[in-house]
Amino acid sequence: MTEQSLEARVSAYLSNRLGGDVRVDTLRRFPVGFSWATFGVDLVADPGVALPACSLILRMGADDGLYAPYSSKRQFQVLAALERSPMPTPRVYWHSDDRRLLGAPFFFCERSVGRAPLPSAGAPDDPVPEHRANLGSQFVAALAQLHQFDWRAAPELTDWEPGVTVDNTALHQVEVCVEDYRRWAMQPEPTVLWAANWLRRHAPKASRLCIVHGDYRIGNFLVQDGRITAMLDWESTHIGDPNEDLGWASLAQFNGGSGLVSRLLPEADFFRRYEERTGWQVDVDVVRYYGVMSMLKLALVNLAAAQRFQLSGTSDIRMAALATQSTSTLRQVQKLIEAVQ
Amino acid sequence: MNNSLERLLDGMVSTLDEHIIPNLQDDFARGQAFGVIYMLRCIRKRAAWSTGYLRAQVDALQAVSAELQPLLTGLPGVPAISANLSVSAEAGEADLEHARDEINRSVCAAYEGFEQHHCALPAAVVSEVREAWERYLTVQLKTELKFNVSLNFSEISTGQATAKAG
Repeated sequence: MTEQSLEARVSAYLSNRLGGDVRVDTLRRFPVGFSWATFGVDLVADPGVALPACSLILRMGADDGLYAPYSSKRQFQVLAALERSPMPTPRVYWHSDDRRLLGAPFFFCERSVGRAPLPSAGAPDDPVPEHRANLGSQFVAALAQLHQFDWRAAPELTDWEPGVTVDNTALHQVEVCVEDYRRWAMQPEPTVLWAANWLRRHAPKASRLCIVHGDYRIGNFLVQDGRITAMLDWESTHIGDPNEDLGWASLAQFNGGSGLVSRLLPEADFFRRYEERTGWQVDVDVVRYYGVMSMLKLALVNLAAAQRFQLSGTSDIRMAALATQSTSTLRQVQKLIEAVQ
Repeated sequence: MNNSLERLLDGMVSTLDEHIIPNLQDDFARGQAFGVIYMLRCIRKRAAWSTGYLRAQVDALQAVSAELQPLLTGLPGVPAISANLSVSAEAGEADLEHARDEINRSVCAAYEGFEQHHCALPAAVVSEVREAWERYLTVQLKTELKFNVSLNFSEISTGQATAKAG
């Protein structure tokens, strides 16, 4: 779909939704992300139309995207619930999975200010060197706020992960990995089979369940003047063991060669501050277990990219490039398991 | 895991055609991009994965299959490694690719069957199979890594060039 036809569809959708004439002034796709497409939308509306803001973010899960087919429902639900949390998140407005509206599942949300520093260092306007300590504190604080959010009391999340308990959450996540593997692998992958069985044999019991972001790391938050203004990319969010996010954030892939968790703070400080914020003790062995699982999930993303590029006919060459990383990621899965053993 | 060579070349042609050329304003640069499309189409008619790359993968699969066969044959619930393990020294790219995929499918099915039923097997067998499998993974991954090129995620995510080494 061209951006012009998307503009027309957005105008029609919002006019209908808000009961008055709303027109797209500009619509621009941001080059970030491999999965949900992100558009900045500037709007003009007739007086009296209750637009929440003149500039919004539109996120769309296209059918040739990395994890297609998509649904906007869970991201919308969790972001709506977290509006009652102190954690910085963008406010969400509307969503639908009806492809007749904009051509793909979508949601509209607040356009938070700031830019997203990347896992790799060296960008000219990288805010991390100047604000590292401050950002590290906020990074930990926001994670603690997320994990301490009372998700059981949130009406939006009542049907999330039914049947998942502290006893079976790790195994449940292993089976999520195996389902993804069956969906995405175009041929049997020996290291994935081995790692999945290792994870099954060593699955820990969780101390508690919480909302797990699922992709908590540098690259997925916005920074403005040294302040984290919004945590983004909630598509992998689920109910699970809080140690999952600690393991994911600590992956070497996100440290930009700095040796720091998400380029922000040493791992020991990350754990200590998290303990101080939550009052919960970090079990490093369990974090290491989830580090293995996280690396496996990254490898599965590589397999998904290979499959999308091979079968969907997408001309996004980034998918093919991402697919070439599967071997090095699987090698790291193997090394992490060997280190734990 | 890799995409097929044909798909990679087709994908690069589509990327240039659909995403790059329409957004290039400079006629010389557009001409260069059309030239690259032409060259990719020429290469697609002639190119194949190198037999060295495929042969190393087949060798590793043959070795682990030979190691596992005596350990797994006849075990309850474990499918036999049924693929033909002999591959001629003169085999070309197509034969090697076929053999790799067949042996991989067969040996992975046997390993999965073993893991599903390992509780019913003697501990010594379980340990021997897992050790053989882990040795194979190391060889397989290291072999494939020899053919990898490092990827600059920042460049493809942001569209901004980073400084070139050297």
